[in-house]
Amino acid sequence: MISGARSFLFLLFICTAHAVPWNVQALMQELAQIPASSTRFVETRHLAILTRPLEMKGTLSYERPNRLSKHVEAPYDELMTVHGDSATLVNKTKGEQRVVSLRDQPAMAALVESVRATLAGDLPQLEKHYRVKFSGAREAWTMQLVPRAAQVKSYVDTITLAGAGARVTRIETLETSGDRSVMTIVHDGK
Amino acid sequence: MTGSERPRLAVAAWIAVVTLSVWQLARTPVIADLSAFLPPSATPTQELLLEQMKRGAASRLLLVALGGASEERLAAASRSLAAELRASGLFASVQNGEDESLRADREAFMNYRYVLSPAVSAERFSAQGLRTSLESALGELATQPAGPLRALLPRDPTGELRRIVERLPAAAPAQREGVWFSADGARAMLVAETVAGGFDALAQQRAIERIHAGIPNGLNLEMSGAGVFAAASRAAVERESWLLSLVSGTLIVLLLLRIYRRPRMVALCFVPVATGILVGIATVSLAFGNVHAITLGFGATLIGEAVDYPSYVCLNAAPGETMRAALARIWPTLRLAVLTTVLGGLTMLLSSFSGLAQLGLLTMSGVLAAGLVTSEVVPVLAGRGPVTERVFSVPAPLERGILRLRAWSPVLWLLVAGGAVLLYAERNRLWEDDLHAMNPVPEHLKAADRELRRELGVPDVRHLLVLRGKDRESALENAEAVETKLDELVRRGALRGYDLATRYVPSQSAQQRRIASLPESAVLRKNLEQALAGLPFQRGVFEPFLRDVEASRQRGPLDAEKLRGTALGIKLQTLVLPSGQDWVVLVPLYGVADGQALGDELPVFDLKAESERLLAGYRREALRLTGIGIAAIVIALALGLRRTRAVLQVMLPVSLALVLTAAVLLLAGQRLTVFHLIAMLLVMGIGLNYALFFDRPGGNTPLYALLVTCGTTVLAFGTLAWSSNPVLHAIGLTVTVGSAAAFIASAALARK
Repeated sequence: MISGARSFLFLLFICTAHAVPWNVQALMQELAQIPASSTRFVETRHLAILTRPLEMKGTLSYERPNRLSKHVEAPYDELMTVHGDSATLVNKTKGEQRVVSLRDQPAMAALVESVRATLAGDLPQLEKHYRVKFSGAREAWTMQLVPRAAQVKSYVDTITLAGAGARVTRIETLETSGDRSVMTIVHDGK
Repeated sequence: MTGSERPRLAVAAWIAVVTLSVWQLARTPVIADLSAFLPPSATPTQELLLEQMKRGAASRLLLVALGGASEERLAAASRSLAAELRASGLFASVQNGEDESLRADREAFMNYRYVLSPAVSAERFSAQGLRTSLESALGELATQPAGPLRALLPRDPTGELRRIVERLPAAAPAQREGVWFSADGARAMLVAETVAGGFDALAQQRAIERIHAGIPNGLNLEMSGAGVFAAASRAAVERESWLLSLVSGTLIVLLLLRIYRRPRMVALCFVPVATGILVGIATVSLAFGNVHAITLGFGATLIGEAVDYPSYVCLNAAPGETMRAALARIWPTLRLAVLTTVLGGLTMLLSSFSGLAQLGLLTMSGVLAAGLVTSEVVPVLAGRGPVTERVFSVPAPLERGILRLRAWSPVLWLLVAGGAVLLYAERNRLWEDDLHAMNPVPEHLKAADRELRRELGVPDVRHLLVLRGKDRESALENAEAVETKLDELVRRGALRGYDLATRYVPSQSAQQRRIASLPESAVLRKNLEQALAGLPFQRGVFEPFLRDVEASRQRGPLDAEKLRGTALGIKLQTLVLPSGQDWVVLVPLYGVADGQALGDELPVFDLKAESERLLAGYRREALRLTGIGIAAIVIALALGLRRTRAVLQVMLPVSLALVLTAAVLLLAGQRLTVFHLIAMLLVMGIGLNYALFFDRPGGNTPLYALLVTCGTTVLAFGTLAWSSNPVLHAIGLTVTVGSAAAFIASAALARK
């Protein structure tokens, strides 16, 4: 009964969502409805100092309101969990654990928010750190983030997120040094 | 000398002394250095701590918080203020968290990383050691976000900079908009180190004014630090000295006008006290070369004492009697009263606090001058006319009430017994043992200071290691020797952390050892090539590393001079200092679980315990001096009264009054300091006046004179008790309570 009501409300929501034009507000509104997500990713880093790109695989999870974790499983095991202002780094391969406060690391905080605030559907938070440029249709959109703070700008040119509907499928980071990393996100079709 | 010459000589001498005093006053510098009211030290370590408190780098820090606007505005204000202060020349350094203010530190760390990092060893730069570092760096390249550490890899593949930074105590405030902010983001925070010592109130005032001038309108400014305390106390004392003197003077004038109803008589009453204050301050200025602002404030209290001298004479005059005739009767008793107060001042003069010594000298010379003027000059100025045509008498009901006090003497004894029991029961919390309570800083400023310190992450340190050496280097080596032990204690949870100076500047021998372990350029290049085999690094990426290692070999060790003006340099000055012939390294210990247990393993120095010891020693000195003062007073009384019984009769009410006073202060929530003790001596001097006059043989009890003099004393010292300055407050409160108690006790125990 209750679940029936919920489905109805969801359908109603989808309908109304379709009724409004597709823009960044609409995307954020849809993202804001997702309480938690867990996805697989493959990240490739092209660094000028290396002769070949580095490739990592793992899972990316988000849990409302402010928990984000990135678990690299290969080529080694490293888990980064951000909860509120506190970031914990556990490297199982090396047996190290580090806790840092995002307040003390404004650049890191900005990079975390590019993903976390997006998944949270929190546009004001995103716009606090970045100038946001949005384009594309509902089935294939891109959102380009240009950092505001000088400290972040000196290392990162742009972060470009791409996706379909409420799913982020690709995050590309372009650094001022010319280095580049591309994270491809696979959703389990759920 | 004939009878007619002496008055003229007296007046001439008086005019000469007053003129000289005014001339001396005109060239007297008023100081406000609060250290005059800090206790002197007994041991070299105590001396070191007090010296640090007065002039050390920690005392020169001003903590600044800006609030009341948006984050952007506050951040902009923080930047512009920092820039203005740096340019002013009044500050050795200004830190607000912006890159600019930390660049020098970062450069020093970067340039000297191979002498600062404890990991530097020959193995680390072998092919095998480099291989391990590079593999680990490769892993981090994959996960680390874009940022400074990754950009540094070509220069620092072995990660020495990070190793150094990680070992620094993490005590920096939160960052917003690129500058320091309070945790709630409401206030931008700065730390400025003045060039002048923290207790130099005038220079601190200039620095503070400069900060005020650098703040845009509409922002809230909060400031703290030793310099703020010094400037605030000085301003308060200066303001209050004038205000309190004016208020108590006015009140007393009104009281005397009400009594004498003749302005001329009131003016006459003020001649001795005005002379006393002038001469007292001039004497202090001659002896010390300056006058402390608190001494000036204390001068006001002399009014309460010396204004009474002419009153004793006038109010005892019979209708139609001349001043000279009345004086002749009163003088023997009055002389004794003056003398006992002078002896009370002697105790303060002998004190090892230079501030108290000034107060003592002021009292002695001021009261002596006032006494002499009363006996020699006032009768001349008064002329040959009668003092009064009417009888000064107390309203009958009041007189009856006071006389009835004698019937109540058992109650007095009961109260005193109760007071004594209370004092005995509370003997453990009778004395103030917090050194900071001695430092005249108002409580609201102390609270603001605690708040700002917490926000800026400056921990409150109670436990310290003090490592000595015959020179700077050996002290540093001794400090390096305890590092392993300290790390072990941190692992065991016995302490949370510590701040070791050798992490900023290691001993020269440790630095030389590290330099010696760096391979020559060609060897390092060969090792690196071996290590890189099979790893996906581009050729030539680590050329900057090779250059930097060679540069470190050439550059040699880091010394404190190269860190001057940086945040690190300031810190170093607070941690490594000369102490007498030696040098010491102070190691603040944070989060000590059990100070006692730690003390068994390391020579831990407990600041709180040490401050208590310092004050206890100081109290012993004050008690000893008080004892001397009392003995001197008793001897003077014995010489004046010539009968043991009479001495006892006079001393008894005063002693009871002192017990009562101490009990009342305790009940009022005061913990006794040396200043209360000194005030007790004043109470004794004043109380003895009452007892002497109540007990004057032959004549009738001069009740009216006693009431008036007690009234003026309570007015003068009661006004002082309103002072926000802890020294003046303690003295004012004690003497007000004490003189009232002494009056009641004297009345209750008087023989007739």
